Amino acid sequence: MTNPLRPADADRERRREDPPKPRPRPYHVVVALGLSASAYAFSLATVSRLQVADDRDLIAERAPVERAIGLLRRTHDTLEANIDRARLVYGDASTGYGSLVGSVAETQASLDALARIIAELEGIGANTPTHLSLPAIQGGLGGQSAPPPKHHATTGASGAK
Amino acid sequence: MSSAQLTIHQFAARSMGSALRLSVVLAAGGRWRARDAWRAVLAEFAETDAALSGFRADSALSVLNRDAGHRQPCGVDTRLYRALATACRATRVTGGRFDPRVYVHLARLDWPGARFGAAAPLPSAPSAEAAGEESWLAREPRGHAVAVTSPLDLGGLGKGLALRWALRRARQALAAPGTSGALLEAGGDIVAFEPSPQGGPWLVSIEDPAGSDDPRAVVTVHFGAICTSSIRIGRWLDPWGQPAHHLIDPATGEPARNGLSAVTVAHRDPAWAEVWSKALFLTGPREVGEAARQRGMAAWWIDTDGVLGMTPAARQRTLWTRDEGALTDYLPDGTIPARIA
Repeated sequence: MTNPLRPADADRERRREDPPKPRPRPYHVVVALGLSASAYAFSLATVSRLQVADDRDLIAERAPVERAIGLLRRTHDTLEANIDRARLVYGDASTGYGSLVGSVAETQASLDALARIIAELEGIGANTPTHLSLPAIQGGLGGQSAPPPKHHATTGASGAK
Repeated sequence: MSSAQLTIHQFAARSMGSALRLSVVLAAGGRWRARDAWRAVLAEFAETDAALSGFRADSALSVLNRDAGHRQPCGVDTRLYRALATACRATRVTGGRFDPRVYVHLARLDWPGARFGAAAPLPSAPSAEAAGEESWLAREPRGHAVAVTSPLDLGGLGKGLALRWALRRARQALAAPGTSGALLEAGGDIVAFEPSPQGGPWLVSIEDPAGSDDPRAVVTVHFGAICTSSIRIGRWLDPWGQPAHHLIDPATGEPARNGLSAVTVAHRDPAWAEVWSKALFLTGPREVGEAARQRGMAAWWIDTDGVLGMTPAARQRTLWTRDEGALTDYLPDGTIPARIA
């Protein structure tokens, strides 16, 4: 009679005879890690793109203001230069006017003196006749006057003769 | 051009009631050109006389005067049309001192020239307020048609225009104006262009309105006209036995008796020299100088006391006066040194 073995013993025996199977690697963990990293990278890229778009819009909105500020700066520089020149001219004019004041005062004094003389002359003129009828001088200065040059024609009364 | 190369050709006749004289200065050999110029002058004066004479019953002006008052314009001779246009402008420019409607006053004073052109009865004389208005002439330029409200006396303007047109035709006949000179004289109105026989400007004397043979002044004419309005001639007795003359003041309707005897004006154009000599005469002795000076005119005037006055522009042209003698240097034959001419 054979020695029958029980099933559990048979499995045990069989496992003892079979080489041990290698343990399976945890690929699902790697996949999960990859997926989560990808999700993170994607979300980071999305956020970054949104941020870049916002920054671009902000820069575009501020550009006219910057140009206006630049223009204002240049205008201000020009105005400042003009004011400097005007200040120089005003300074020169002030110097010239200062030198003229003395001459004006002298001229004023001369005009006052002239006005007094004219007033005296007007007083004299009021007593003189306005029109003098002087006799016509006939014949010049007794031979000293040159004779008339030889002429080509004579203009005179143009009525029908 | 030296005077030795120049020859003078002189012609004389009568036209428009005045002595007509042409002196042409040409280089040797131009005798036929001078004759052509003289023929052109005679033709022009004859045609102008037929159009503008107030002393011809058949002139276009006399015909128009007989139709004065008809408001419907009718075609007239081209010369008469141009003369009326000039007279209209002269009335405006002189402020009414030149006014051809003085014909009515001349007729009332029995002026000999008024016997030819006016229909009887004459229209009423224009009032002093109306003097200077231009309403006396209606014109249609396209057809050279005119209508006048009153008979007109163009006076010396006709002769001035005749001189203008005749000199133009004479210059065309001479064909080389740059190498010839000419002087055309019609009854004391003169137009000339140099050179004179001496090679410089023409010398023209201003007659003494008192009737003396000695001139009052001698003046130069380079290019242009010189005309005089004077009361030495053109006198008659009016129907009331009073002395009258042809220089009628439109403002009063009477012969001007303002103390002036004569006014001479130099102008580029003889017609306007005529207009201004008359207008300045009517201005009177007190304002004549200022009126001429304001317009930059060369004008000489002699008052009834015999005193000669002149504007600065006239003094520049004056070579000699009886009162002052020589005003500049000139040679015995009247030649002026080049630096003065």
